[in-house]
Amino acid sequence: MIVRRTLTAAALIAMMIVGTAHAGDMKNSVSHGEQIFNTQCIFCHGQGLGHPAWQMLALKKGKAKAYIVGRTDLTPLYIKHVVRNGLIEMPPFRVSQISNPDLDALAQYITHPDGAQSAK
Amino acid sequence: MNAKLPRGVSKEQFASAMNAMRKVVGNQWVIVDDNPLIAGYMDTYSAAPVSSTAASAAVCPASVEEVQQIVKIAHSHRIPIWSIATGRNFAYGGPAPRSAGQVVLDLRRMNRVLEVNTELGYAIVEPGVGYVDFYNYMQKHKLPYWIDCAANGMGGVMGNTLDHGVGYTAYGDHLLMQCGMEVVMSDGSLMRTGMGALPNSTCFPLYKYGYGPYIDGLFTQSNFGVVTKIGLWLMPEPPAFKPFKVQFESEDDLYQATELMLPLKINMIIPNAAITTHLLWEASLFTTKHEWSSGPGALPQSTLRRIAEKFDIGMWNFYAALYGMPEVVEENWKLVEATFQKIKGAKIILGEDRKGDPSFDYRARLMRGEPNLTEFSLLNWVGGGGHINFSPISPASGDDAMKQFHMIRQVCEKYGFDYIGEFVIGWREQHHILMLMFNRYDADESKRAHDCFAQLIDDAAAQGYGEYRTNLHFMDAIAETYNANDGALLKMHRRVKRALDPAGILAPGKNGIWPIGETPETES
Repeated sequence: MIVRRTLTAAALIAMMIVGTAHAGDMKNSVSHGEQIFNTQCIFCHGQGLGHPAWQMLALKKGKAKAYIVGRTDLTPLYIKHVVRNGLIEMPPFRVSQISNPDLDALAQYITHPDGAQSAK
Repeated sequence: MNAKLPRGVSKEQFASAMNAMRKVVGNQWVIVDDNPLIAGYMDTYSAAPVSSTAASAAVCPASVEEVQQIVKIAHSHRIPIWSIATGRNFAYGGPAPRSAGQVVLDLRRMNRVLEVNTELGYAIVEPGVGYVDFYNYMQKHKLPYWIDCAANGMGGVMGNTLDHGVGYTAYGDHLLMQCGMEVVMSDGSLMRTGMGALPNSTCFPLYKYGYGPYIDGLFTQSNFGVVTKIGLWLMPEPPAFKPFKVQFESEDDLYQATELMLPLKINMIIPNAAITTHLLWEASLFTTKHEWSSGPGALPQSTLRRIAEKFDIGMWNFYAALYGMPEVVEENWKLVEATFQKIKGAKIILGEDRKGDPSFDYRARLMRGEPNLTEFSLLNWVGGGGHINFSPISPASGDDAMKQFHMIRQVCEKYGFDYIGEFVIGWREQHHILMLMFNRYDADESKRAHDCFAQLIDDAAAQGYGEYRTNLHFMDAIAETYNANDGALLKMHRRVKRALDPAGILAPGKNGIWPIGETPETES
């Protein structure tokens, strides 16, 4: 079997972004944000030991705030700033890694995984 | 207008180059340093100020053709360009260039897995394919092969290979498993190595050597071209996989563990890149230094003992795996078990003994090519994120392991740092990886880390130990240690540079290779 020039995950994601942008469907955007989270963030920000960011946040802010998804004290603007600039142990993510539309969806997912509209 | 410029380049020359590059890749993919997005190209973990390696701009092409055009523009405008693949080799500089003002050529958008051949067991990938991308691709298509990834799961296949990186399956020697390379030369022309040079050949990813000199190595840890494709061999998913750990009670057990392990490696009973890791490397998954000490300096032996007991971690911890047919694995396991039982107090551990243990879990996942980032827990040990890796090579012998361990720990403690290290055992040698952790927001600690690293280079070289890879800030210092015969090797590298890149536009200073007329001193 030979698999040639199959679309990468990134390409599929890019296609989905176009779709979501036109549809304006918040739930799709959140679903897309979850995909970004699961490919870019979860290795550090997943739950439990073995996830370095969870471990550090548990130490600094307590276990209730260690998992960032659904935290009510974070805003999309803050999430986007941290992703682009890094924060202490976390490196910045370049626009070639997470595009601006992807970042919008990611911030929406982290702050409102239930699909509710977030404040800008 | 941007504030930084490449050395020797005027504002007008720079602006003209950027405008030409925008026409190739589009406005949004040329990021100059007045754009906040340039922050993504900083080296955020080194001991030196980020300004010392701050890029003047980044350009992000999406195809080989675009890379060729960008290189041609850089050539005609004499703009130094520093190419990165995924740019996530954090302990070595990440996405930042060697010196301030260089333009980063960011190849992350070229992220296609171009081909996987399941009959012949190879893949061809572009520079931006990350381990997670590659792993997900294999999973999605249910392909019967494993990838091999570095401990930094956010890293990338090509960048790691070109920097002589290692992974943890039986295919962990990445450059050994690379076959076929496509390179954009400094004039923008395109070359394929080996069988790729023969029109209509299908053996590009199958036979490394082609006809004539074998040159793929010239394009690794160097600045002679921009690699845009590599072929790599894939490890078939084995019918049986048996990861294991052996814990040792005493630091002195490192000698016997190394001596006993070597025959198992040379005879390929243990075929993967096995690891012998020190206590604190493991402990950082469970605890931080601040929970054990609030004062300066390295933790004393008494505290290390308490940590070992509390978390049931060995002073040294050996990880490896067996692969193959179940019957063969079980036979080999008898030999492995009998070997390590010779060491007094050694505790042999299998996966079922350590369910839910994140340290065993992440090691086992790495040994089956499953990307993760658990090892980044090391960044929490002191906090503040700073880390640089000191990584000398030695014979895989007990004497060398003990000598390096004591030498490096002594220097670390002199500068107030804990020894956090591991030995990655290759075919006959071992990479000793010191993770020098420091708070990069503490200027004094950062300076001590820098000075510690500099002394380690000198002390190691005096004993005949050289580093296999390094951070941006130490590339010249380490290149200078490989100075036998009046520096003949580095002189040859620089002569090749002049021949292949006479304008000196490709990654000036990479691994100590500077273009004609430029020196580390003039850059700094």
